[in-house]
Amino acid sequence: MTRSSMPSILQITTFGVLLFMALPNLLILVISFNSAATLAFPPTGLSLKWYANVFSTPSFAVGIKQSLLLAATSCAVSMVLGVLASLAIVRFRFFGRQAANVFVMAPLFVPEIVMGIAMLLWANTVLFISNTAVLVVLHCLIVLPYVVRLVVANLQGMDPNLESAAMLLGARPHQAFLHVTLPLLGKGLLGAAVFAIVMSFHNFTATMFLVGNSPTLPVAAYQYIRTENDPTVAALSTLTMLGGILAVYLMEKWIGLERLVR
Amino acid sequence: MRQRLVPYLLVVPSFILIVTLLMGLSSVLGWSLDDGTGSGATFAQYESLVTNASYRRFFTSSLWLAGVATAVALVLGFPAAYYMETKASPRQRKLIFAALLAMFLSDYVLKMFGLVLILGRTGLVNKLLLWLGVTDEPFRLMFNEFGVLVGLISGILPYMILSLNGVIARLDKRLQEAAALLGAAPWQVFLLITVPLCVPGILAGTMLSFLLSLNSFVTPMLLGGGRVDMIAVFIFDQSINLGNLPLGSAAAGILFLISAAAILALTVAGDRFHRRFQR
Amino acid sequence: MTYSLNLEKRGVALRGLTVDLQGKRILDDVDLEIEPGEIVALLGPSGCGKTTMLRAIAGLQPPLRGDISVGGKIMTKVPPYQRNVGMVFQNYALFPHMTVADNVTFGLRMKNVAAARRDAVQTASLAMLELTALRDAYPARLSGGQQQRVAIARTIATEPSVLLLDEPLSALDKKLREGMRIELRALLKKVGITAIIVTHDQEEALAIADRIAVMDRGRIAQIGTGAELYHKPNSRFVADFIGYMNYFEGTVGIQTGGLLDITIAPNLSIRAPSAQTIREGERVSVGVRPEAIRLAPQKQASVPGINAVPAQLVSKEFLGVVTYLRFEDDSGIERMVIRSGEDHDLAVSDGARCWLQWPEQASIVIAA
Repeated sequence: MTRSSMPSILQITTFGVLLFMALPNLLILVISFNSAATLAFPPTGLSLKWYANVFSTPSFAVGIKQSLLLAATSCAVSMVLGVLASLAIVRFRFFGRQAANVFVMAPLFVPEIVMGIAMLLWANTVLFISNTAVLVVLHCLIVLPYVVRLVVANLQGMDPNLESAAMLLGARPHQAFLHVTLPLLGKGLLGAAVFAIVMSFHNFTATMFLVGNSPTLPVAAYQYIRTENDPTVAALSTLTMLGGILAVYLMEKWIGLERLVR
Repeated sequence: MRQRLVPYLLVVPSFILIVTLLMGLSSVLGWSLDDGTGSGATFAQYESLVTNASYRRFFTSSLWLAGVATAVALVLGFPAAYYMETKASPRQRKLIFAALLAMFLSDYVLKMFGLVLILGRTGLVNKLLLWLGVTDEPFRLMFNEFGVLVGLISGILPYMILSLNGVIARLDKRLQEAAALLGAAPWQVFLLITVPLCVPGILAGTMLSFLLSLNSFVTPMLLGGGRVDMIAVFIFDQSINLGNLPLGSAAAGILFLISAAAILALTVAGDRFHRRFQR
Repeated sequence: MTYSLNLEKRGVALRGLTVDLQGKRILDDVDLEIEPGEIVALLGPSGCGKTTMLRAIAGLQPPLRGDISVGGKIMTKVPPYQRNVGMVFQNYALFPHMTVADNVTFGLRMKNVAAARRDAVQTASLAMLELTALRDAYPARLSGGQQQRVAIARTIATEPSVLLLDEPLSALDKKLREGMRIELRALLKKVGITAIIVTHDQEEALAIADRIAVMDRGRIAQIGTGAELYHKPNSRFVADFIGYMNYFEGTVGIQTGGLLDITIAPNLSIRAPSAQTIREGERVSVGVRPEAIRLAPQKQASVPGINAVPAQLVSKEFLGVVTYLRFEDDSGIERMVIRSGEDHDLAVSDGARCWLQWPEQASIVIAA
């Protein structure tokens, strides 16, 4: 094997792998603009009717609303919980700190399908709780570890002397948090929030156990795929891909992609 | 004294949330031990899961599929991660990175739907093969183990590559240069220096991918069409469709144990690796 | 209307201050008295507890025991935001999301000071530190020296009763650091505030402070002016920390005419000014600074009234302003002599045997 052939093999593999991962998305993109009613390839004509169809399909319209609402609520709740817990973990030295850190990360260790059935059974033990409320709890559990991880990383990157300096200048602890910590953490928090929203929006397996009569978007899409056979789902996929690209752009802007994954 | 309470107060809300999960998990445990009388406990469900061959198949088949998918993803993912960290220009890198993350964040259900469009009877691959005249009959590429494997691999590749990326980025390039100056050929440098130093990332990526595959539900449903046995499908069918909560719970319990054991093993292995080489 | 900062000089007193961190004793029963308007340096190696002491005075580190008082008022239990103690952090800790002006008025805003007074104080503080032109700049755009001035302006705007500075020059590069020493002292004197400065650099401490407290393993080893510490160190630790010292171990003999006779070898004794606490027969160390030693050729007999020890030259190290001469005495111990410029002692050649001589007054008796 000569030296010059090494990189080319590497290159071919890399682009092959990337193509393999991207191909389903690219195909969906093409099909979503196809005028034919079957999921056939190649396309026969250009049409936007499937996009209109997404919004006139009741289960999708409900699903989008349901998923957005769920994502927004669980993001807000888990952000508050996560920021408080992260503050404790990074800024304080207390007995059980390491244990608290592990405890907050616990949902990561539970397979999603197990989490789904667990929360379903939990909902049965708690009286008078709406299906939506249980879903919010479930989604908070799913996002909390990610929120804590990102916020902790951001807090650790912040100089603790800044808070001390603020207090020595007369700021009470809550003032120091509001005027110094929070503004400096701002972008990191926005990034964590976007991540939380995306994770919640796309959750399928655990959510499936608890949706009842008003399925979230991924569940609605799943049910649609299993029964219907037209490019409406392709149009929906393209729309969610746009959302994903927007999320990636925002996170790159606010926290930097490298920081997100490392 | 009041000062000391502050950190505990800060973690209490999160704790309450996590406790709901623990309550749910203990309900799962409770149901799995249910003996139908409501008072006693029995291991009968676990016993039947282990002894009944048709139940056992779900576990062995899942483990096998997850193992194969992980191995393939590692073999495909390593060169990609390596290329992107060492050979790609910063611009290219950023682009690949963004693409990976977009993939990572894209909807799993819809991604599997995309694969259906590729692997189906009238999908892209079969159309292409028929057009090329390779075959007159469309190949059966899904609703079997092959389709599920393709789905699993496609699902875990982003995770695998991102895990490997981290360690490769942190590699000390001078070590590879030193090895080359000591007379190692490029493939020797790769096998004897690069790969061993990437062990932590390989372990992390492998374990994460394995668990994600093992727990997969959407893939066997959409690409397996109910013909490929996987645990998640079994758990869902038993506890929801067939109303056999005790059996579903016991299967969930076993799956949880397998995951916990895998994570524990990974932590211990990672720890030993660090203790050995880092002071 | 111009506003002048109302900075009262207040003294600081520590009594029995003890701090534990993670089960380790960091400060051990420290007593310290600082006069109003005085600049005191806490000097010591890393881990001696100097930064912890500063943080305890600021209220950032609660002590296990002991009291801290500022201006006669006990502050031990007062939280940092009510202590009115200013601190300049090692990395300055400027708020990166605020302009220079906003950094300076931060303290006043936290205390809800009226806008008119706030503007006046801001103007006065910025003017005092020559920062008026930079008022709208963000900290990241400033040089190290400018950042330091903003950090000081920000603290004095709150009119603190004492200013604490943690390694204030360590973030600057070496050249700038040396120039800033004198500037910082001049500035603190101009502001006229009681200041405590932490440093591990002896030259920095000597240049900036009125008095220096040398710290060793959680205790104050000695406190005094630079000259006191240099010429009358009470321990080998202090003597070694400030400058270099040659030691001679010996037994105290008779005292005559205010001079002690100390036998350091069977036929060799040296003399030192007598000290009250030293008794006959006691083992002591005698320290001699390298620049106090002069050289005489071996063949010449020892000059009466002057201490003399024979030694052989091992190496000469020319460092520009001064030259280090390393000798070895008869028992193989290294002896250091420092001579400056074109001193005729520098004519001595490698391997030559000489007398090392110094006046009795240059002998410093240190309890062994």
